[in-house]
Amino acid sequence: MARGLIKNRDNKGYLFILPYFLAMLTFQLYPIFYTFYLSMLKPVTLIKMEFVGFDNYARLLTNPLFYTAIGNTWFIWLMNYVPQLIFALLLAVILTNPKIRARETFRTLFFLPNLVTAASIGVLFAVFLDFKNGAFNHILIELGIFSEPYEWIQDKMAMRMAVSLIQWWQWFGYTMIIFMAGLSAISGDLYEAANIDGASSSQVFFKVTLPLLKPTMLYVMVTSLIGGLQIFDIPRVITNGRGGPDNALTTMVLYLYNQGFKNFNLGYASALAYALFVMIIIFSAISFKVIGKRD
Amino acid sequence: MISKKRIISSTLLLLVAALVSFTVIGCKKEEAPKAAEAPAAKEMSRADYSGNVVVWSFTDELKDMMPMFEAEYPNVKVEFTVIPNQDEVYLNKINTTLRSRSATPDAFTGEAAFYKQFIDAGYWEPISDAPYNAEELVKDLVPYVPNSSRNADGKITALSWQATPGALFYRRGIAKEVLGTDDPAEVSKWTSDLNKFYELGEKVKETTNGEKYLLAGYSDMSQFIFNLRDSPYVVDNKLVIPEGLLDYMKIAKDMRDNGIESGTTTWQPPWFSSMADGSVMCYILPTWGLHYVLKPNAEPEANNGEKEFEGDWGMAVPPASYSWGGTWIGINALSEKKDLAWQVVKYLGRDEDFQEKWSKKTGDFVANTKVQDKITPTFSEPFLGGQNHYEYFVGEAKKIDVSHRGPWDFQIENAWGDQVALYASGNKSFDQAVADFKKAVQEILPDVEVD
Repeated sequence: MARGLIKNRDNKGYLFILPYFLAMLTFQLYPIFYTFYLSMLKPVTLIKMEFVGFDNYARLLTNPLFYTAIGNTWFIWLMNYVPQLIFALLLAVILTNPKIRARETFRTLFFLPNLVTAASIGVLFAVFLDFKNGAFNHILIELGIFSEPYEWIQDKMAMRMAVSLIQWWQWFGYTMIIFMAGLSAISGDLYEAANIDGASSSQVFFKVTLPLLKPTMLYVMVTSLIGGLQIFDIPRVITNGRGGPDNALTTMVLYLYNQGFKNFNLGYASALAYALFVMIIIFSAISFKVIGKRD
Repeated sequence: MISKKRIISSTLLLLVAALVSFTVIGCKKEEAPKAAEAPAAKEMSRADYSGNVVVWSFTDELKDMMPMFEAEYPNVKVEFTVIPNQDEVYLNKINTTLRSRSATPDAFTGEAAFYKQFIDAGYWEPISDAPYNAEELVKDLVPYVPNSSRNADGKITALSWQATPGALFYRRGIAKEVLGTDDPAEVSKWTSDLNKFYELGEKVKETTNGEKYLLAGYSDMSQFIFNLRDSPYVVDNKLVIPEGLLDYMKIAKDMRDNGIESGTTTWQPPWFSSMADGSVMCYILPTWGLHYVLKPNAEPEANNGEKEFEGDWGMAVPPASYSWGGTWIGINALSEKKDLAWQVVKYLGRDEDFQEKWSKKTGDFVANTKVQDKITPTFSEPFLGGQNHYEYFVGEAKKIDVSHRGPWDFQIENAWGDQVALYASGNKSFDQAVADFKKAVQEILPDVEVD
């Protein structure tokens, strides 16, 4: 059969795609199956595990912290995505206007935060928000807003917002670039026609620009959502891996990581990975459906 | 044209291949590593040993120790790698390596925070019996050092060159300002009792108008608090919260509210910088804390030999005896060069000549009592204004009792620390903090009863 496969000219294609399939089997499909197998195990010692069937999934679904982690992840994502979208759109519209000077410089400037590694921003923010020595508290006291330092690091809402702020600051430049690409793809004829018809600039924006930018916005939403559901690095660094205060920054992936690599419960961590996997599949499917409808 | 049938059948073939490989690899029995053939015991001189031996550690101290070993064993070459344990990297590296049944490293270190897990997993070769016969070698060591590495069968699995009793270090300048004296014996009267220690904190605050603090952060007290217990955290699969931990939570809040500690957290950048700026009187640190934490951060230039130490520090008795940290080294149970690895472990953990040289070179407190007795009378630490810190540690090392230490203590104590921070900052009630701690323990040990 193998000889026949190679001899037949039509089948040579298989040989060419074989390396890809081998890599996919080893590095994607196999880990997916193995993770499922792992999710049925429970550690006895660091090296010994016992088979527990679907116990890890049962624990997961009845554990309030799991839902807290989902809530945290969505909250942090929404709090940075909405302002990021508005800000990026505004800047993209402004910076595609040929009347604005030094557009290139601004574009680079706004994109720069995206090049900084998340870990260093996390460390920077942890120092910035420090209780007695942090610059933020010093500024607030100097300005007379606070009379004594406030321990931001122990404030749940403040820490969630800080992470959203960092995410926003890091990504609005990137989103802006995508929007600018989307804007430049809109034909100039449409604007010309709108001008001739006497449309005001706000009418042009809402009736021409925005509807035609919808595919771009959907693309941004899908990529941002998939990235947002996997948020890990900044919550990890800013709280020294503790996910605190009071699990306020325990996102789904941080929860998974801490279970797998701090509590050494690979089984439970794998079950978490599967839960995350299913969630991302569902939301991606919904997003693609929405995009598909438009086309 | 390629038929649809063929596409489907080849896809199925690939899937089956994936499943088979998954089953074969996935179903490999997860057993603790078994001891390979033990090396034959015979009298050999150090020069008789030859070959390469691979050693891994999370601490770079061993970088200076390995050349000393190689000088004694001229035909053995050590391939040494440091893997820092920042973010549990070392621990996970050892885990993945040993889970894949690797014979290298031949010997590796473990720290107090996690070595009990190595022992439980059987990563280290038991060395009590022949051919190692460690039991005969450990008589001169501080007893807790070999004893705390015993596995469930009571066999020693690792040795350490150091013992790590704790102390309290204070700024003599502030002591003089507040107490009128910087004499360690006088200062100890204030620091050796927790209530008096708190009173001292109030005195520091009054005398300096709140500009200086007793402690950099209440979390500095956690180590002696964690040592102050008479049972493990988990007994008969039930969580036990020692009384001392509850007291600590309350004291932490009092200290924070009354401005007795400066509001930093142990190991955070502001904590390190507080050592140099002269605003804090006391640091509660063990043997290694003096040399690897306090000296390089309090007087970095002098520590690099660029100038003389000012001698503004002293050592006093902490509110309770404790031990903090410590590095053990054991033989990989799967190693194929156990005889060589054992020489490394034995040399570091037992050799008098090595431990004497090491303590003189670094000031580290070594585990061999013979060496301690020999060098104690001659010790004088310029950083501590000439005080002999060795003398005090010799006494403290005898008091160390780590029999309640369990494999998950580090994670459990961190969870307690999280709740203390929330309570002390006023974000939570006391009862809520204790209840949330129980939930956190449930995350670490799902099968343990917490109520």
